[in-house]
Parts: sequence; structure tokens; C-alpha cells
Amino acid sequence: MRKQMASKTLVGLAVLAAAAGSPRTLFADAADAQSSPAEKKSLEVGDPAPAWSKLEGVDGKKHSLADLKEAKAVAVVFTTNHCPVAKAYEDRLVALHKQYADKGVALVAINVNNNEADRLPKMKERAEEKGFQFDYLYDSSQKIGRAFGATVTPHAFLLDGNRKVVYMGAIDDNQDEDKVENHYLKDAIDAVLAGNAPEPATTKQFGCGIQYE
Amino acid sequence: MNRSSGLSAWAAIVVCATAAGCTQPAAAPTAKTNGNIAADTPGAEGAPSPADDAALKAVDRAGYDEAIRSLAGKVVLADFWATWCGPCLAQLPHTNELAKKYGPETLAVVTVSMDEADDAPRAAKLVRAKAAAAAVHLMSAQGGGPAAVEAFEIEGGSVPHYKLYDKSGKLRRTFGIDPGAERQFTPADIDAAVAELAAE
Repeated sequence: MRKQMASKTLVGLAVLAAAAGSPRTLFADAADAQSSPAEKKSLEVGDPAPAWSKLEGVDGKKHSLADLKEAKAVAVVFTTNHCPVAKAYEDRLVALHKQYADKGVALVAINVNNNEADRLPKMKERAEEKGFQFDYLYDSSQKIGRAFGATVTPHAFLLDGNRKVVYMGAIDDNQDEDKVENHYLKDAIDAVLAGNAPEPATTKQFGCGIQYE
Repeated sequence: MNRSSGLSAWAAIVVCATAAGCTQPAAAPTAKTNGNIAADTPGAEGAPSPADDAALKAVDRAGYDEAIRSLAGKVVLADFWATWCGPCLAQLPHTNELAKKYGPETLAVVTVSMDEADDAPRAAKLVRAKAAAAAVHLMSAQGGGPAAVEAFEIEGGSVPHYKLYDKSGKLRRTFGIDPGAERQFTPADIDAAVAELAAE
């Protein structure tokens, strides 16, 4: 038994040695093999939304997706304080919330970056400065960002009444508000409120990469 | 397989970006944006050339692919960046060092600005100061929005993003953000990949 294990180890080493010319490729393959099981697949339109639970908001309270039972739709936007692209969208988020709050649409902004400039105390400052009336939550564990597959700030997801993901991608098509031609997120919300499936259901998000640790 | 990822090396870059570059989206003076990066001090890389203010060549995906093809015979590293992206600005000098280390016969660096047209003059000035050893400086003709992200296949929609081609012009590696990865890529990953292809 012991002998067998030892020889297996040797085989392992031999494989490593053979692959020594490209050690990182080997690494990457190993990582891919680990992430291939179904639970690691990236979020897609139609999937049930990952649920956040008890994330602290700028209001000092804990927030969960489950608290939003009444909402006909939930727009989730990953954002962060320091990113110029995210900042360019702050006023648009305020306007979006104002336009849709009465229509039963919840807007939830989430930050998962852990820079000093991005953490909760700074989030509170920004929320006050900008007059955020929507929840702005902090997840220092970054789990909710990974669960959604959020890559940048801002990165938008729309959940329908059944909390399925029905849209994911960009808020609109230009960080310069004056040049926007397609209001993707807004159009998606209108579609859900009208009982339709958003079209397009996905767009390519752009912005500052989330700093996963 | 073409995304190895890792964080600690980026952390330093990101912190600097947070402290300076990222908080100054529009018209931030170059010197301030990069105050803490020695090599970025204007003039440190040599006197500005007369072409400093010339516009970057704006390309769509076909124009970009053509530029890559024209460099066949060398390893090609394409560095996608934007003026508003602190980590990109911190990383361009590193890309420049790679170009100098291997020399133009072995490694051709192509920079691609994902800025909007309004920022083109600033992008041109910045990239010429930070990546003077690049073979070609390009700019996305579609700006940096969803259409450009799709056309140029920017993984996760985040810059900096890198594409690495072997001497035959084949795309071999890309480096982009991957929330599913255990670690995000680092500059060292790019260095190692370039070394591998240069040795082929």
C-alpha cells in the first residue's frame, strides 16, 4: 500500500518534470480542472440569482435579497468609489432609482473592493454626497461578486419577479451620458415591468476591473 | 488556460491607482496621475519626439488584426489600456520595459487605447511618454463601450487586457479578469509567457 503511494508520487513528479518547460500552463490547467464542476460555472441569463445575505449597507443596517420580497424586479449594480467609470454612472443610478422606485423596482448597489478608498466609511461619504436613496452594500468577502461573476464596476444585473437573472452587462453604451444611444438596463427594466424578456439580455460590460483577492 | 491570475502584484498597482490616477478621470495632469511612478515623470524616458501630439491610429477589429499580421516573425504583445484606468497607466511602463528588454526584432508591443475620441489627444501623449518602445500605438475606433469590448474581445470588459501572439501570428495567450479564478494574473505571468514564446 505504502509502496504504491510512493510510486504514484514519483509518477506525479515525473509529470511535473516533463512539463517544467511550461509550469504556468500546468498551473492554469490544474485550476481549470478544479473549476470545471458545475457549481463553478459562470452565471447565465435564466439562472436563479445568487442571494446576498446580511450585507452591511451605508445605512448601517444588514440587507439581504430576501428582504426585497415585494419588488417586481431588482437591479443589482456592482460599483465602487474610486473607479472613474463607476463615478460617471453615479448620477445615472440616482436617476434610475428615482424613476423606478415607485414602480416596485429595487436598486441595490454593491461594492466588493477592499481598498481604503472603497471600503464602507468611504462608501458612506459618497452615498451622502451623492444622495443615494438606494441600498449601497459592502461585501469584503467578495463572495457575492464572484457568485454573480461581476468583473468590472459598473456591472449591472437585472432580476425579475422570480429572482431569475434576465439581463446582465452594461448600464448603457457610453460612459459619457450625453452620448448614450442605448439604455440597456432601463430598457430591460421596462421589459420586465411589461412582462417581457429583455432584449438584448446580455451586453458587454466595461469599466474598472474588480480587485479580487 | 490563458488566464492565470493573481492579486498581490496588482494590489500595489491598484493602490497607487486609487491614490492618484483613478480619482482623476477627466483631464488629470500626467504628472499628478503618475506622481509615484518614477519612470513616468515626463521626460524621464527621453525628450518628447516631434510626433508626440500626432493622433493615434484609430482601428476597428479588422485594422487591429491587420496590424498584428504585419508584425509576423516577432512575438507580439498587445496592451489594451485607457487613460481613466490607473492600473493601466501603472502597467504601461512595464510593457515598455519588456519591449526594450527583448528588442524590436524579437518582441513587438502594440498598444491599443480604449478611450473615447474626446480623450484621444491625452491618450496619444500619455502612451508615447509611457511606452515609447512600442512598435505601434493604436486606438479603438469605437471607443471603450460594449461594442468595442465585444469587437476586441476584452475579457470581462476590463483593462488592462493583454493578448500575446507567437511569431507565426497566432494568438496564444490572453490576460484578463476572471472572477472564477483563484488568483488574478500578474505582470510576472505576462513576463513568463513572453519569455516562453520568445524562446520558441
